[in-house]
Amino acid sequence: MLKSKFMRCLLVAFTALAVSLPGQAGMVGTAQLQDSLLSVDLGSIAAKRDWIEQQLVLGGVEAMDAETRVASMTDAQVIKIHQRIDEAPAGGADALVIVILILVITELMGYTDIVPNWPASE
Amino acid sequence: MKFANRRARAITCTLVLLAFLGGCATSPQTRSLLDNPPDIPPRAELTEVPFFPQQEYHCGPASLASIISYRGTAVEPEQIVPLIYVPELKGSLQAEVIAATRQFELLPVQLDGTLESLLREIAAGNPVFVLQNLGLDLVPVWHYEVVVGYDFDQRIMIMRSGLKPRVTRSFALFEKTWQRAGHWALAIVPADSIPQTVSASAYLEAVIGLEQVGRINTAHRAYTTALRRWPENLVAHSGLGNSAYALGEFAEAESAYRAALQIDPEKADVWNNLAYALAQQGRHEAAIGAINRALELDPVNQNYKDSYHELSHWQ
Repeated sequence: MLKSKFMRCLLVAFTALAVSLPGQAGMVGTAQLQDSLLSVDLGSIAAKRDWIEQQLVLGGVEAMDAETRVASMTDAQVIKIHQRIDEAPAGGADALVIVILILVITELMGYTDIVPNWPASE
Repeated sequence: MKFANRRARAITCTLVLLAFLGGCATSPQTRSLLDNPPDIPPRAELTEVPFFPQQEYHCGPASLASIISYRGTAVEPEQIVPLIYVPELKGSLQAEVIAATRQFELLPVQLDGTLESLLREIAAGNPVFVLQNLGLDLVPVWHYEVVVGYDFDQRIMIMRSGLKPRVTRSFALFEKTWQRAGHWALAIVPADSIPQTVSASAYLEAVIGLEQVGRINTAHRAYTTALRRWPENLVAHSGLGNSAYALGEFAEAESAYRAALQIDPEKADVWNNLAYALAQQGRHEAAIGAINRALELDPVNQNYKDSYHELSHWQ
C-alpha cells in the first residue's frame, strides 16, 4: 500500500466551518429523513472537514483547491474519509516495491495486468 | 552445491508463493456470465467516449475528464487535477472522485459491484468509471480507467486506460483486477437520467449528496427524475419537498410533503417540514396544525419543540 507519509498527528486549529444546509434551520434534511446519516453534531463534522482540508494541503494540494474539494464532500463522506484516509487506495498506477520476478510471472499467468495488452489475449 | 540448493529453495519458495497468491484469485462471475449470458447484445462499444492520455499518476483526472466530457461539459485532465489529485499520494482518492463529479452537476452513482451490471450499463450507453488493482493484494497497483465496451465472443472488456485509447482485458482477468479493488464502479450521469442497474436507494444516495453540498437545482431535477421511476418512494418525495423549499418554491414543497405523507402519514419529520412550507405561504394555523401532528407522533423531539416555538412566533 502506498504509504501516505503526510498523515502525521497534528494539532488542528478548531474552526467552526459553516456547513451549508439548504432551508430553514428547524427543518429536517433529506439525509436525516432517510436515516442514512449518523446523528453526529455539526461541530464535530466541521472539525473533521477542517482536518481533511489540512491533510490535503499537507499532501501538496493548493489551499483554495483543498477548500473547494472538502466543500464538495457530503457529511457521510467526511466521516468515512476521516476514519480511513491512511488506508484508502489512491489510483495513480504507480508501481512501488514490485517484486519483479513474481509480477512478471503473474502477468504471464494472467493473474495481473500491469502491462496492458501483454501478453496478447488468446 | 550450496548455490544450487539456494536457487532451488528460491524457486520453490516463489512457486509456493505463486500458488498461494494465484489460488486466491478466481473468476466466478465470468464463469457464470459465460454459462448464462444476460439478455444484452453480444457486444457493445461506446466509441464516442473521448480519450485523454494520462500524465504521470493522473489516471484519475484523465478518466474523469473522459466521462465528464462525454456528458456534455468539455474538460481537459489538467482542469480535473486540482479537484482530485493529491501530490503526496501520487494519486486520487475515490471519495474525491465522487465529490468532483458534483462540481459538474453530475450524479456519481455507485453500482452494485457485479460484472453483469457493468455490462448492462455499457449496453445502455453508460460508460463506467472503475478502480482496478492491476497488481496483487500485497503489492497493489491502483489504477482508474473508463470501461467503454465488452465483447462476449472475444470475452473481453474494453477500456480507455493510461496511455492507450483502447485497452482490452479478458473478462476473467478484469474480474480479478476489479475484485481486488472491491468491485468499485461509478456510473456518472446527468440529473435527468438513471443508470440502468441501480436501486432507488443507490440513486437517491447520490441525489442527497448533491443536495447536501448545495447543488440544489440539480438535486431538485434529479428527485423529479427519481419520482418518474419510483413514484411511491418516500425519500424522493421528501427530497423533492426539501429542494423545492430551498429554491423558495413553497407551494411545490407543500405538495411534495403531502405526497410523502400519503405514503407514510406517521413520518413526523415530514410533518415538521410541511409546517414550515405552510408558514412560508402565510398559512399559520395550518402550520401549527402540522407541527402539532409531528409532536403527537414524537412528543419528546427537541427539534419539533423548537420548530413549534419558531412557528408560533412567525412574522
